[in-house]
Amino acid sequence: MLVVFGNGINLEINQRVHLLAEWVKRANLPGVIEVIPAYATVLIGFDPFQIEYDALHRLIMEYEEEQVDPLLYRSEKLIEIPTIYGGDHGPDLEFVAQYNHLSPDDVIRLHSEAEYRVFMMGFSPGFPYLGGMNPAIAVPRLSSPRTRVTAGSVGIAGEQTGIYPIDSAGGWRLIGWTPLRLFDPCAEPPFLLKPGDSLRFVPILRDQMEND
Amino acid sequence: MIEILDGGYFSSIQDLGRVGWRQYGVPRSGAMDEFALRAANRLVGNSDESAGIEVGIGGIQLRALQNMIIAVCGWGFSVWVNENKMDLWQSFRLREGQTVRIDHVGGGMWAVVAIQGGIDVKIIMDSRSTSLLGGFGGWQGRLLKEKDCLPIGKILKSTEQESVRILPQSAIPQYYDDLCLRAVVGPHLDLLGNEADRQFFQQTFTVSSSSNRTGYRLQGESVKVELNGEMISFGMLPGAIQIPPSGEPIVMMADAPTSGGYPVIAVVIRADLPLLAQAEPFKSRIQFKPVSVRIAREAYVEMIKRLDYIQEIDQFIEPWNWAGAIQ
Repeated sequence: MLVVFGNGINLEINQRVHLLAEWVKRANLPGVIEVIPAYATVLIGFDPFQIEYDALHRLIMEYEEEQVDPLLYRSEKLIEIPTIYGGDHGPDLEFVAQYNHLSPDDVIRLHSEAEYRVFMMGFSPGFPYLGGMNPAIAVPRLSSPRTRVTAGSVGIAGEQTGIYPIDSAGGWRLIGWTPLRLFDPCAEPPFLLKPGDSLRFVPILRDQMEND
Repeated sequence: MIEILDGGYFSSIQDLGRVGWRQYGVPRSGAMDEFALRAANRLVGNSDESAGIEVGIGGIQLRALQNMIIAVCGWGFSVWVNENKMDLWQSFRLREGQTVRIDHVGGGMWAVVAIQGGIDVKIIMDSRSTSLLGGFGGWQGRLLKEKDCLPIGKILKSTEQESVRILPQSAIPQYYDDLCLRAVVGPHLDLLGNEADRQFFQQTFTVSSSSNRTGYRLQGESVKVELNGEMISFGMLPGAIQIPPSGEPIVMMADAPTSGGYPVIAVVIRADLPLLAQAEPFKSRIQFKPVSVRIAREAYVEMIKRLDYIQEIDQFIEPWNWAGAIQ
């Protein structure tokens, strides 16, 4: 079952998405086995042996947004992502700067001063689509994707930024790299982030990391 | 344990898939032919969610490193134990040291091998399925190859099966080349317009050869899309039929990414996904028929009920003669 809030990428719609997603998860609705929030939609998976579509539809329609306290579902902590910008770790930093008529340091400053929200996860296990980037550092994707992007790479595509959780192909412009492990299948929990989380990039120097 | 002598090209460990992790971008995975997996498991006395070996068109060769009860289900394959041809959709016994060869003969695409006790690999995120995209799960997160030795789960004495189990012909899905697959329309049919609706539901497609566990591409007259602007990504699920700008529909399959941004014209019902999974490129002729959510549910319930038709045949044949005796 797909619940649609709109067709835009913005904080307001996405907040409503996560509010419903959290409500469904906490309401323990019979037969609901999966809740998948995206930018402006929530996909709800259910077991047809436990509940019928019409019955689930009725339960979802009982949801009253006004009665849910948004603060209840806000994650308190702001996750910090230590990031090495530029150089081998961010081969496209120069391009992002030039494209936007900025210096690389401006790009780093603009990218790391904003607070981001994990709007949704997809593409590959643990890949966060982050909202909240300053449009001044937006760039189009690579016309031809790289066949291999290292896990931890921080990239920009359009007005979005994200972090590659595993080695994979990818077309986003890479501006930095974080040593944090976003996805470890054997860890508990396997993911550092979850949809709805807030985070911030903290610039670090290469030497700093090596001394840790 | 069971040893892989030749893995073919697309063999992997699969169960019913990962449920509850798609919100993190983890595909469901699981057997392409859900019915074949469930049936194979029941034929050897396993629960439906046990893990088996899914075999693609490259076939597979296995050697039993212990005595075991095994069943192969699927379509388009032949099964050989030494020189004896075995039937699919029924259990048989393998002695330690015996080898079983599964050849692709055409007409279908996937077979599932279940072994009593199940393939006992580590459960990662609630499933033993191989996540080829994530490189985890199953056997070392990858396709099976020569020399892999897979552990088999312990069998409780009380469930040890002595008789042969068979799923009768009438209960096997109708894996034909000509398919009329049922699909629930939406959610973006409105965006696509009446023309796309008519074009999609009135024509006959075939599966393109560039199809895999992630998605099946359909070839036919291209479906015209008149979209204003771009859509933003939303949750995707196996069975969803996406219409990209090229107009060549792509049906999301077991390993499909969890989100996508092309409009979805309809979703193939779960009960008919095994039929699509087994559709052979170029040979198959596929039409779609819109149905209600109620029909989709009833069809799925009916599919699961068909597993109850499994029959036990009470014959105690000496194990080493089994392979020859059951033809």
